[in-house]
Amino acid sequence: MKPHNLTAALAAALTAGLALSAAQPARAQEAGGSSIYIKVGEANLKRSLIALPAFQYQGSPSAAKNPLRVGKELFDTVSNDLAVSNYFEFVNQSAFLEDPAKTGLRPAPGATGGFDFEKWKPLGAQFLVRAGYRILKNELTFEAYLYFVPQAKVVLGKTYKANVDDARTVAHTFANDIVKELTGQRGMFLSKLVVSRSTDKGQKEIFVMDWDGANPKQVTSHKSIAQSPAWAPDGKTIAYTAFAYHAKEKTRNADLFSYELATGRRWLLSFKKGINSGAAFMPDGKHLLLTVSSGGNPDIYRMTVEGKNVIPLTNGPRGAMNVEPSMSPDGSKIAFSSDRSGRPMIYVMDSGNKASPKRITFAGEYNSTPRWSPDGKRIVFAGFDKTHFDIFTMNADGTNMIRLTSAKKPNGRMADNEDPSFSPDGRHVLFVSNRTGSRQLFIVNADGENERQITFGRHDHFKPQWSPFLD
Amino acid sequence: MNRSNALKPPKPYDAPRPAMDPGDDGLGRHLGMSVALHLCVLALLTLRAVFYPTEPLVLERAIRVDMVGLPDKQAKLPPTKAEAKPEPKPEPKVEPKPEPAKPDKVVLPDKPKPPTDSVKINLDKAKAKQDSALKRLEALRRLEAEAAANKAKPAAAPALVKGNELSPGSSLTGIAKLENDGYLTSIDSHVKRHWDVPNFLANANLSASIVIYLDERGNVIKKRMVRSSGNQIFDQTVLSAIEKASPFPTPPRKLVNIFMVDGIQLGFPE
Repeated sequence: MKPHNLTAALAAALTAGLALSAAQPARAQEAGGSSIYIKVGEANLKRSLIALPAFQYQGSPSAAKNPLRVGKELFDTVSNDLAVSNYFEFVNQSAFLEDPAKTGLRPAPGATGGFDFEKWKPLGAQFLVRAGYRILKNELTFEAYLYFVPQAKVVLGKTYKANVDDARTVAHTFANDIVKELTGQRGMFLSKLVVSRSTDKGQKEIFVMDWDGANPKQVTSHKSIAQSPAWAPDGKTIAYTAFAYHAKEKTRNADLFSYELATGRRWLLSFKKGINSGAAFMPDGKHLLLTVSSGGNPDIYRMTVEGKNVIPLTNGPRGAMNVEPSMSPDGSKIAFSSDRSGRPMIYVMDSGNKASPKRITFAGEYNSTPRWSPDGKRIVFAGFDKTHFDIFTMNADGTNMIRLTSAKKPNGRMADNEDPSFSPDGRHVLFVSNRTGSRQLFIVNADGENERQITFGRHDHFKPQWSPFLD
Repeated sequence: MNRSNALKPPKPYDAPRPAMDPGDDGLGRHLGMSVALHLCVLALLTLRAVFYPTEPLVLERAIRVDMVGLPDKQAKLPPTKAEAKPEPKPEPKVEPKPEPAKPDKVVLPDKPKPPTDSVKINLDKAKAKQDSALKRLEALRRLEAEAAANKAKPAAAPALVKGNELSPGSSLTGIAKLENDGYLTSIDSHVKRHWDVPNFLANANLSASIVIYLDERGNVIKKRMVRSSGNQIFDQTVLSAIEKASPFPTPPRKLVNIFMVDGIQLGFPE
């Protein structure tokens, strides 16, 4: 009896100890907390309501040539950036309770003639942007604030100075600062696009433009077909393929060039007979991948950015092509398309292991142009399904595929959406669509919402690439 | 005819045959040579396999291939509804007072029955019961202690009321307990409905906690942030969720005191 009792007592002591320790996490609540604890669970995510009144011109009317034009450019750029960010919804300007043109940029009790927070609270606005600008000779001064209305606090206040011609850059910088302040992440508003664009003479040249389609600048003049441009990781150099004339053979060949944007210097990197195309820089910035067809079937090669040490990464199987390489941001994997299984599909291989290609797409008739997301978790590609191409994203292992696009042409037939590329923040996808009748650039959120056209006009666009962060 | 017979080759062909036969010697030699040669070839192959390994032959299983279509574009992703998670209940499941009975049970079987088997079984049972009983006791004690501690500060009156209850454990049994559980769940979903967070904070991994005090009609008398997220915008979403959610569902009468005095702590999101 005694031993049993002892055991029982021991057990009781033990369990009591257990009970105590089990109770510990529950008690590890904040000091002053209540004994009744409810976990509310995940919040409803919403876009924030932001009030964006017109920017005030604070200089004298005669000090600049056309101050209102600059003001409109600043405003339109900031407004478009914030709308594309998908973080905000705008308060209708006609609902404003005070005239932003007649109140200062700073809140009233502190600043005389300032605005009144109480006039913005009833609108439900969570954020308020107040900004003004001055132009002296050619110098633009932009003073901008972001306020958190419910707590009447300033979140961001900055003054930017630049040449008047750089008004868009100033506006993009302010939008970047807003995103950085609110999310802690970098904004992509100073990034650029590189694209092959048709010219009036039926040729294609390489153009660089702002991410929103503004400021297109022609950077090549081969008077030929220049295509498939790619950004180096530092955003200072691009590589592209052009059908260059070879005087000896009196033929044109698809050679690979690199081009330094700041200086305009150009190098010929690869000129093997056949195709030297589809360049993709490796994350180290010292190597690039490309497709070369000198051996008969196109295969993927790696070489230095000087065009040296050319090493084949794929080989066959016989008769199969391996094209459109794209390297994962950490440099460990290469995605490419290959028709080794009959029709072009997406494969992923280890960058150090030739024997490892693994097919990751099985759906649809034809999948091509894989591109990695900046975090390396997703791959975006164009998939052909029965009648047309659309843009899809999937996990890097091919799972969880979603369709981002679906649009009709004016004639009612399905439009092609092709050549996708992720934005540097991974939140948007750039692609080419022929839904308007010509091939124009579009962007869409990485979840398929908020589609926007960013180029207009009669020129066609091919194989655009979104730059890395450039600021 | 004869000539032709004589000229026929069979004879010269026959002749070597006996010559090859001469005895077991020849057969043995040839057999030996054959074996030796075979061994040589085998050895060569083995050596080659050892020193010059060939590419492994990969045999893959045949795969059935289904033709799969690409997914359609989702018009809009369905809003992710976070399920109402059952909140942790500090109240243990209290069956009508099992505590006093247990010590007897533990002791009883020992006395009359020496057989070890049954004792073991009983002991296990007893342990389990004691375990749960102790947990219950512990939880109740904790509740009481915390309630008392919290009460001691603000007011004496509610403390009196609470003290007049027979025991806190019995106040949360049966219907009262059901009421309590149901009420907490309703608060949870009630607050969640009003809690909107800017999507730019979607990946920020912030959390905050607030204690609210309700009067008998469910109005928020007082709220106190006990843990800030460190982000003023996020904290504001929590505060405005409480504002928008007030008045809360009317608390069950038996629990009014708890909610008025101890308050309810809400974790955003947990």
